[in-house]
Amino acid sequence: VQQAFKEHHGLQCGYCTPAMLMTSLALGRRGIPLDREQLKEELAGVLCRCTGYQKIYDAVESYLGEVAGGGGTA
Amino acid sequence: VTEILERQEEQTRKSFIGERRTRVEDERLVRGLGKYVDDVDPPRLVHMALVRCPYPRARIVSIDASAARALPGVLEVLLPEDVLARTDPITILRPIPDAPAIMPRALPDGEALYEGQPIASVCAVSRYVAEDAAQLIDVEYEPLPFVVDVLQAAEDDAPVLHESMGTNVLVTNPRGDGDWDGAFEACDSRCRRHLSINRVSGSRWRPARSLRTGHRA
Repeated sequence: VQQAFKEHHGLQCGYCTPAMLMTSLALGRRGIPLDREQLKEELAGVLCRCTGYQKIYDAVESYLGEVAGGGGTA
Repeated sequence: VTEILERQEEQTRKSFIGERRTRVEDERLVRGLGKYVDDVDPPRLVHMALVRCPYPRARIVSIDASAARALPGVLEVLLPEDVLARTDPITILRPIPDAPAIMPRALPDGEALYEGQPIASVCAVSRYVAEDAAQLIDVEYEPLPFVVDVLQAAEDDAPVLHESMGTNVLVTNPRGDGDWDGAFEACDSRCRRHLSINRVSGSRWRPARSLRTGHRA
């Protein structure tokens, strides 16, 4: 999940990043497939003022895809 | 010319322009090693909290800070009289031609002119104690007439905020040259528009902060 955020530019100042990562991790462990609208709901509890969220959604979707594909360790 | 263009293209390829690059700082940040002002806790750091005016405009009748001063952990309470005695007024606006200088004080001299204006300042060993103490400060206000609309504020019967000015209009800025009226009269058609331009000011939604100590890093 750290790698996904780095590769997809899911952070700038990094202030919200720990919460974004932990939320992503929880979503990965839950393992329920999410479309983008559902993902937005799931991440609504964490505010980011840098990225405009699109890169964060890209990062989380990439991470969740890897987890679902068996490539992750969650 | 072709050679020059090719060389420029080659140069562009070698530069960062158009390249997708990962950031060097991300590794630290995704590991939870980011450091922000609130993470910095130098020894003997003290914290301030402010008492703020709940009215758009009010006369400050009295301030009782005895309970706040008695709270353990409170180091200092500054009231307007303390600040007025120890500091000079400053101007906050760049000088505008023909406009009188408005000289605000860090804490108000008898009258608060906007909601949220600081009335008293508490310094304590932690932000929690400082906020608790600020809530213990008892300020008696006498609410005064106010306006919140710019055009209403410019009307003759509007309550005047800065009495020394005698008006709420800080400056007018008419510009023109030659025979305006004649030029307008000669026009085939005329239109009149009232343009409202919003006030632009800084927002503290994501504040930049700094913490300075007396030591070299």
